[in-house]
Parts: sequence; structure tokens; C-alpha cells
Amino acid sequence: MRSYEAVSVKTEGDLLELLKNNKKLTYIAGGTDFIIKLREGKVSPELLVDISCLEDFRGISVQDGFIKIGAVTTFSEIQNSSIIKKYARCLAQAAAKIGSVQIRNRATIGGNIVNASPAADSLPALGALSAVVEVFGVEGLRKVNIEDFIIDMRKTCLRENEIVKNIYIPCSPDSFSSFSKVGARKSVTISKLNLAVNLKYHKDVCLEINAAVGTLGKNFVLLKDCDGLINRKMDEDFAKVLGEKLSRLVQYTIPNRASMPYKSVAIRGLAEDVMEDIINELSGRGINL
Amino acid sequence: MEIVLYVNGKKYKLDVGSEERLLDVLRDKIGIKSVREGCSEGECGACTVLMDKKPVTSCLVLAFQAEGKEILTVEGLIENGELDQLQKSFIEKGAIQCGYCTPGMILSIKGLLYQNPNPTEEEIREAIAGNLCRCTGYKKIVDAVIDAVQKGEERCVRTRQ
Ligand SMILES: Cc1cc2nc3c(=O)[nH]c(=O)nc-3n(C[C@@H](O)[C@@H](O)[C@H](O)COP(=O)(O)OP(=O)(O)OC[C@H]3O[C@@H](n4cnc5c(N)ncnc54)[C@H](O)[C@@H]3O)c2cc1C
Ligand code: FES
Ligand code: FES
Repeated sequence: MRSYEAVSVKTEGDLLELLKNNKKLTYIAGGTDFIIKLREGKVSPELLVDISCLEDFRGISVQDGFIKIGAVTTFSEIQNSSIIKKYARCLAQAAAKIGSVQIRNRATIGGNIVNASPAADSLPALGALSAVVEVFGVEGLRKVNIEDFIIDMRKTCLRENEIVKNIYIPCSPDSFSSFSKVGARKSVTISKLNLAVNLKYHKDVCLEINAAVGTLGKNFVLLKDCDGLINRKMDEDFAKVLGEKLSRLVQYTIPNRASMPYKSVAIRGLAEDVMEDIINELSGRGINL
Repeated sequence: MEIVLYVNGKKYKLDVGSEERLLDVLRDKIGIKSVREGCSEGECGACTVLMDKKPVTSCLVLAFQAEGKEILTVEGLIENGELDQLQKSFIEKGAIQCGYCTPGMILSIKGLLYQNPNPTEEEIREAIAGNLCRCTGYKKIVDAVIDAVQKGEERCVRTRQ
């Protein structure tokens, strides 16, 4: 391993100073992906910048109708946040299913999206919730929709030295979401198939629906407001129709992959889990189906 | 680079390399051998320590990232030469066989008990899902935790640092 310089930044001001130096920066947050890559020799930093204690980039709050999540917020914090559980439930559920307690205490949401693994669990949840990524660089801030953030296999739209600062999720009180996944092992697992569904309802009728499936390619695949589900009553048939549509989406997206037959069946099961969870929660809110 | 760590309540000033992991520093610079290297990639939990009271795998933390943090290992649980209740229950309930996983297991459970002094069996299992044990089948470990909690969890959750 080539030796390199390393520094920890505590404030946005510290970071700005570094950015002005014209050096190439490599960021480390929780390190749960990065340290493995470092030891495999897949990354060779010049100046490694630890952002895990960058408090200006941490925390969960509600601002002007959006949930704001700092990039270095850990999955333990997300899993236990009452704001996320209330307004972005599928993200809390995805966070709770990542790795183990030890991993969730370190792994950050910013690291999960920048690592851009096709199996990343936060991505379909953020996709279903129409999240927006706020990127910070020498030139200031810019915002990118989560669908456009990942541009190729394990590649994001980040330019040199740019860093993810926040993630914004629109919060609407009449939306409800749920996440489910299947993987090889119970807890410490990189998921093999995952699904997040976010829908807007009035009484017991679905007005809008976003379903995001992960692990099928470079990014999640989004099924949006499709025929047959909009203005439909959310009964048992709803889950079946959704499962059928998602199954066709899987067949269409990965026609030649060996995992296609398995995934096109497993996705129906995930659709049923997710809809059962949503229907239970709606009846908890006093909406009878 | 120079860092300060508080390990089991004691302050250490250390010169560390930028690629050294917390695991390497604890084992090789401080000499704490209860922190074990199993898989080196976050899967087995043998290297678990508490960092500011939270369980982390020390193979996935660079030492310089731990600057100023409080680290607890099982050595820090012993008071006046006496094991604490969780350690005693592990021995009494046969939750230790080869012992390789034990320090990490105990620290994951400590982390749980700090937040939740009266956990359910399901919560105990979730807390140790990242600690692999190839000997005990986990049942005796869960029994040991329940025993320790019944015998006085306040000792398990006392603050040492
Ligand atoms: C045992 C184990 C089990 C796991 N299980 C799962 C699982 O079930 N599901 C799942 O989705 N993932 C899983 N993971 C991977 C998950 O831990 C990571 O993807 C994690 O979320 C990455 O965050 P981090 O803070 O550790 O990032 P790091 O490892 O610190 O960084 C990852 C990459 O992102 C860059 N980076 C980090 N933060 C920023 C930022 N704010 N701006 C710009 N670049 C940044 C770094 O330069 C690096 O290239 C697992 C990992 C392990 C080791
Ligand atoms: S050695 Fe760290 S988790 Fe296995
Ligand atoms: S006692 Fe042998 S690995 Fe757990």
C-alpha cells in the first residue's frame, strides 16, 4: 500500500479550506466499503479526508416540506429516527435491514449512495420517495434527482472533489411507503432483490404510486403511476396486480440473466409483503379497506 | 500522525499510520489481544469493540478516525480483579466453547444493554446478528444474557469511562 496523507474535518469551513488547496481529495465516512477497497488495493488516495465527524453534514430534520438527511448520518440513526419512521418509513425499514448493528453504527447514507452498488438497500427506498441529492463543491451547491445520480455501473455523477452534503425527501402526510428484501443470509447480507413502494392515497384509493426495484442493473428500476393501479381500491387484488406488473418489469429488464426466473417470481412475494404492510398501517390510521 | 484514544478509561497518545486500523492499534500498539481479527471485512464480529458506547467492527475503522474516542474492550469490564455479571453468566451458562467469538459477543451485548437494559430474546438475537459463533448455536449465549439481566443488569450498564 502506498502511503498517503490523512486528515479529519470537523466543520464545513475546514472542508472549504481543503477544497481551495487544489489537491485531489478522497473521502472516507463510515469506511465500511472504503477500507475493504483500500486493503484490496482498489483505491490509492493522495489525501484522505475523514468526514465521519463532520457535524454540519449530519442529522435529520424537516424543512419547508422536505425531510433533510445529512450525508454522514448513519443507518442506526436513520433506523431509529421518528421523523423517518413517520414520513419515509421505507427508508427506516431499509436501514434496519443493512448489515449488522456494528455496520449500521458506522455505515452512512451518503457512503451507500456514492458507493453505488447495484445491491445498495437505500437506493430503491430513496428512488420510491423521489429523493434529491445535494452536492457540495468549490463552485457551490447543486441538486440532482436520485435517478440521475448514478450514471453507470458503480459510477455517480460526482465530479472531482465534489461531496454529497444532504439528501432531501418530499414529505407528504397522505403518502405511505414500505420496503422489503430477500437475501442469502438473515442479517449480514448484501441483498439479492429489494423493493420499495411509496403511494399516495385518498380514503382507500391509490392516487399515485412509485415502486423501485434494486439489484437489476446499475441503478434501481422505477415503475411509476402505471395503468391498472391508479384510482384503484387497495384490496388484495391490488397486491397481485402490482406483483404481476413488477414481475414483467424484471423479465423485461434482465431477460438474459440466470437470476431472471428466480427474481421474476420472488418479486411477487416482495410485492405482497410490502402491500400487506401498507394496508396494515392504513387500517392503523383508521382507514378501512 | 499523532492521536489520542481513551481505552478502558486510560488515555493513550499514539503515533499511527494513516492506513492502520483501530484493530491493529489495539492489538499491536496497546497489546489488547481479546480484540480478534477474523474475516477483516465486517462479517464475523470477532474484532467488535465499543466506540463511544456503540459496537463497531474495529477492522473497519481507521485508527485516525477514532481520535478522541472512548474505546471499551472486555478487559475494561473487570473491576478489582472481578469479572462482571455478564462475563460470569457466560461462563455459568456454557455460552463459551472455543471462546474465539466471546469478547466480541459480550461487547455487542453491552452495547445493547446501554440502550436497552431489559431486552427481549428477539432484541438480543438482533444485537448479536453480526457476531458469528461456530460452536454454541447461539441458544446458550441468549440464555446467558437473560441470566445476567435477571441477576442485576445495573452492573451491566454501569458507565466505566
Ligand atoms: C458486513 C457488511 C454488510 C453489509 N450489508 C449491507 C446491506 O445489507 N445492504 C447495503 O446496502 N449495504 C451493505 N453493506 C455496505 C454498506 O455498509 C455501505 O455501502 C455503506 O453504506 C457505505 O457507507 P460508509 O459511510 O461506510 O462509506 P465509506 O466506506 O466511507 O465510503 C464509500 C464510498 O463513498 C465515498 N463517500 C462516502 N461518503 C461520501 C460523501 N458524503 N460524499 C462523497 N463521497 C462519499 C467514499 O469516498 C467511498 O468511495 C455492508 C457492508 C459490510 C461490510
Ligand atoms: S475481523 Fe472485523 S468483523 Fe471479522
Ligand atoms: S465459542 Fe467458538 S466461535 Fe463462539
